[in-house]
Amino acid sequence: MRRPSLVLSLVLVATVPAPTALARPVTARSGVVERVVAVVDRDIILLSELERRAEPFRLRIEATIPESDGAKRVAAEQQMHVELLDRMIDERLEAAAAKRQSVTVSEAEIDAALKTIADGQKLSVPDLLEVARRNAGLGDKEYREEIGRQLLEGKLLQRIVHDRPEGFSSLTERERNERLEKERQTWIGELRRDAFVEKRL
Amino acid sequence: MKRALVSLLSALGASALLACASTPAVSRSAEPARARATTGLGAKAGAEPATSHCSTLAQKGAGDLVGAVDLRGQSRLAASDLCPLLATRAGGSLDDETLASDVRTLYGTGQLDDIVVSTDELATGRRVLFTVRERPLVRKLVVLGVKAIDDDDARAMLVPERAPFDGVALREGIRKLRDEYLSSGYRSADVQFRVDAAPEHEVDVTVDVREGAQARIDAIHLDGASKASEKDLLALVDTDEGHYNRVGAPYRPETFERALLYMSAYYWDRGRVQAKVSPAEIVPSKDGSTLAITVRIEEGPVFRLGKIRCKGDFGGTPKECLDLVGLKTGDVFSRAEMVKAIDRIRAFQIEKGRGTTITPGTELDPKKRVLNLDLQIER
Repeated sequence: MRRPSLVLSLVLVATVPAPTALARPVTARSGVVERVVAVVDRDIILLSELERRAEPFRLRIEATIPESDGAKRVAAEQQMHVELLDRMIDERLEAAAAKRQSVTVSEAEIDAALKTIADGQKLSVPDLLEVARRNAGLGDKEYREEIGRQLLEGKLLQRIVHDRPEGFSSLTERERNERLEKERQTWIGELRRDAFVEKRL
Repeated sequence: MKRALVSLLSALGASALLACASTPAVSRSAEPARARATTGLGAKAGAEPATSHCSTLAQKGAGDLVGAVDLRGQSRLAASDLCPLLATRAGGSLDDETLASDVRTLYGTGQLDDIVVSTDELATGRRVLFTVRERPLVRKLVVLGVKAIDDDDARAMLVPERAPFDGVALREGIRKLRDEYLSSGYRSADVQFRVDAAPEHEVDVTVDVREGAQARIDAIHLDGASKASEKDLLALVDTDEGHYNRVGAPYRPETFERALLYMSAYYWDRGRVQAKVSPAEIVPSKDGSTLAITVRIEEGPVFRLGKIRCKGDFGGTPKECLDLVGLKTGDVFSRAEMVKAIDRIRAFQIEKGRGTTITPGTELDPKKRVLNLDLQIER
């Protein structure tokens, strides 16, 4: 099945208690506050970017693993960081591929996608953004960025399927999703093979 | 057999980086007095790390301000070159986005392989310490096994000696070198590289090429071409004066692929607007020494011009439009003639002070084999 959107599921399945505040600025603490956590060709991913993206998942871990089970929490957070960094690397590779192919996502397309999601949940767009903020700790900008990333990936995948259309139109929705995920994996593998990627977690 | 490569990560001392990244920031009071007094160039590799002060507050300012900005880890580079790049300054406020931007700016110099930012408390405010790791210098570039390509040309594609090592540039260079072999007919050429750590924070880069045999074309088939002569179509292939892309010579993909576009244009200029020229199919012989190339062509029928109209912001009469186009209903359509017609109309429009954006629209009637041409003109 196609990779589900963790962020959307966090937003829409309101199982996480409301955080008291958004992520604490990295500059509010001492010790290492910023560093390079991955190199993707000539691009870098910073610790602050990873932590910002990790915030909704960290809240979920905190909500599901009790504080008394500290070791389990730490292990879950470490695993989450590893997986999230991999995803962010994939996104950088996808964004670079999109740039090469002149594929873009406009603000209007993001607005339309937000409206569709909100309609599906019988919410207004401002209410959806409020739910995203309350349940996932995502600001409007971060939520729009996430939607933009998903739209961009969708557009790129459509191109790939368009280039390799054998039998696609005759598939059921489930089979299409499986095929899309398979194509995505193949494509990401190709992008990774051609790129210089170094993880420094 | 695939040869083992030395990991770039280990060659570049990533373990040292990890240790650095996980070490808590050293408090100012714990630093040696000599290091505190250092300005300008930092310590040489292997010596005790020295800290350069980019900016420092003499006394605590109001609020939560930056008390000092320090730099550590540079040796070849002068702190006086790096410090001015930092937007984080003593006396300013500590800000996530500015710090992230500083790290990107430093990395963007192409001189640094890693940057770690840590903070601790001073009497005058927060100290921000940028610990950098310079890229190692390329001490030696060794290129082995290159015979078919000029050695200097091959080296020019790779990383220069005595310059900071750039892993991305090396990979791009390796790709260019492979492409060069491919376009010279060395389809099985294998290019590997190795990066070995050398003393004094330098690296040696070794590029090892196994060229293999140069494959030559033994046949070019243009399947489906009957209305155009094979000779005319093959004349569109750039052979570089007979050195490539002909029977008996190596195959050069980029110029052959360009020729397929010229073949399509050849048909479009002769009314065959539905002609399709497929990508070349390359079939190597079992031993890889020869190649058979097949291009499949669907020529399609000849289309003649139907209605010809200038629409939109045209500054003349329909007759003037037809005169400018220079083609008439019943003529065989030609894409090249249409382009010339557009140029004539544009010149006319400029003279009239009217719109010059001209978009051709074509409508096909496959039964009558007629093409209606609308030239849409926008201001």
